[in-house]
Amino acid sequence: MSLEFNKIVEQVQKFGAMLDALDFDLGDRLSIAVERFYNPPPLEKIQERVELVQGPSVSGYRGAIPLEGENYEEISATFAPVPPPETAVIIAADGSQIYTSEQSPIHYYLINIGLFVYHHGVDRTPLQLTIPKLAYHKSEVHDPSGKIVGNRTVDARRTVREMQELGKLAWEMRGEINPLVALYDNHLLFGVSTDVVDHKKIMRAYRAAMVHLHDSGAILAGYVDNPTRSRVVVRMLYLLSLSDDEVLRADLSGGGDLEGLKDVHLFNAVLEPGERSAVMVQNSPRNLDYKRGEGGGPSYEIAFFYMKVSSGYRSSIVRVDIPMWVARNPNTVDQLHALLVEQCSMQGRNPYPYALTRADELAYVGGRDKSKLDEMIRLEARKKGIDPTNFSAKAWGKQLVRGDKRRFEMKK
Amino acid sequence: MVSTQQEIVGRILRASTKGFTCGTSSRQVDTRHDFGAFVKVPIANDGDCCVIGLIYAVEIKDDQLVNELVMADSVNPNVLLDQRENRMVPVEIDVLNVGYGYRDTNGAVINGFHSLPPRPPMSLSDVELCSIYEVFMFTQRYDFFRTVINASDVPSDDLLAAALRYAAQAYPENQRYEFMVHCGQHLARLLANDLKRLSHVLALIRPA
Repeated sequence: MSLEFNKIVEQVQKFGAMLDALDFDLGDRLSIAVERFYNPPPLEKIQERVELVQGPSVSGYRGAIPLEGENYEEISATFAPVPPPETAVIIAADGSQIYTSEQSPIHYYLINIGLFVYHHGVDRTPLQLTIPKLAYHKSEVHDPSGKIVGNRTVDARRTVREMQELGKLAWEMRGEINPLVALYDNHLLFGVSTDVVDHKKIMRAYRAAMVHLHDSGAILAGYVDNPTRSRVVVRMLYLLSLSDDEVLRADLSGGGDLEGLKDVHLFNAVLEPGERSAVMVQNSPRNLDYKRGEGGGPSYEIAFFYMKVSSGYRSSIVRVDIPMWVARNPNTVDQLHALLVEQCSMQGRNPYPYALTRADELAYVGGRDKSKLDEMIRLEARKKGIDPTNFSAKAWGKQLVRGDKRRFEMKK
Repeated sequence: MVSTQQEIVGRILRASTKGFTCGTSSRQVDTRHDFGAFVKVPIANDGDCCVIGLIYAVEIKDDQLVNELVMADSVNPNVLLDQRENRMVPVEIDVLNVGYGYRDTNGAVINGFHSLPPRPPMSLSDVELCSIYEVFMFTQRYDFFRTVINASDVPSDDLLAAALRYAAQAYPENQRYEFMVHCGQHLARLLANDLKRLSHVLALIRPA
């Protein structure tokens, strides 16, 4: 039976009443944050504070810290885009998957990677390719205890495949046209929880793929379109507002008097369309592991900057993750910034990199594709004399009632 | 008979005995898809019998990304190339059935009947452009005019005029005028009770 809307109308109205009562007003927190942003303490003071929070007496600080040494950019600095390089290649990768199904008589999963190559400054038809991989061997679809691998494992493997394919293509195209930007549709500070099958192996493979990208000379960037959960810069502003004594006592995992404020609120207020923030890094154990852990190194610590992308109709705040091999070269950061601004102006009102939109389109495996693949697999099984139906009354019942229904509507 | 890619107008998406719709990709669209062109396609389960029809609509489908790109101040040339060559924007071609015929030993569809075919073509059948010879043979008679004039949901006057101009090219140059005059005379008989319409159609087929 479909949802009885008459029974939910009242609940929706109560929900609306709750929205009225909610405090969406950031109050003076935004103005305090903006004030702190534009009036940071001197560099020496910031460095002292960073040393303090990275020392043994303070723990839990998960905020931003500025770049070290000659790469330091003042935290209140904003940068307008420079003209893009005359020519460049932008490779974008994205992935999609069909998860394993416990109900299915034949266990498999599919990972499909979409790659899109855009030639900036050269009139040339973009290159597109997809790399589907069907996993069906028991070593792939079952964990060591014989259970089917979960969705989180498939997701983690997909992430690694995305990075690996990006690395392979960047390697093949190295030296053709510079700069070569490898654009990845997510944050770069990838982590795998211990419940994921072969989590250590997956992390090693991910870092190896980053090394491959580094070796190919690519400008790797992780594009985070909607960083609404990110508060690293707000936490930093809170940290910088405290005295040394207060730092030792304060809960630095939150935003303190700026709690509730997010980085997107701050940068929406301080960035003009097209501008980027200073490059900073996030202080976290995971990032430290990228810098010092197995398979990592100083070049693989993840830095970031915020950008206000705009199509002229609409603008939004995005975060761009970059590895340190990119971050420590200001010219490279400028080129990436300029190319991203251009990419975001290419699809009408939607300020999003065109190359990523197309990579997503190439990777996407929809319901019809899944049905077709299921059919192909059933046919193959039948050829081998295996009955793939494995009748499940529950599954069949669901299919019957969830199928297309004849709908009666008013004639127009 | 295997068709070469150059001859194929598209492949059948849906069909009835009255007409059919075939699809192709936008990068394939060229003079084969002209309004009023004569096309042929084998009917279901009979490779020798082909429907003959006239293209009366060519529709280029959109999607949400194309809609967004249209809103842009200018479209980047590489995006244009990508959209046209990579994204396979679907094109649908609507065809009105005006007759059918049988292939001769050379594969040409002749011996045509100016009436609706016994069966529609099957999905995914190759729709081909009629050869000059086939158009010449089919237009030796004018009975298909009535089918076009009476067709509903079709711009019948413009379609008939476009089809006749198209067919005239199948005739030797010194016979084209005579062919058009004969067509006009036949139209005058068919539309004798609708002089405004007759006048309009004659104006459409009048040589420039």
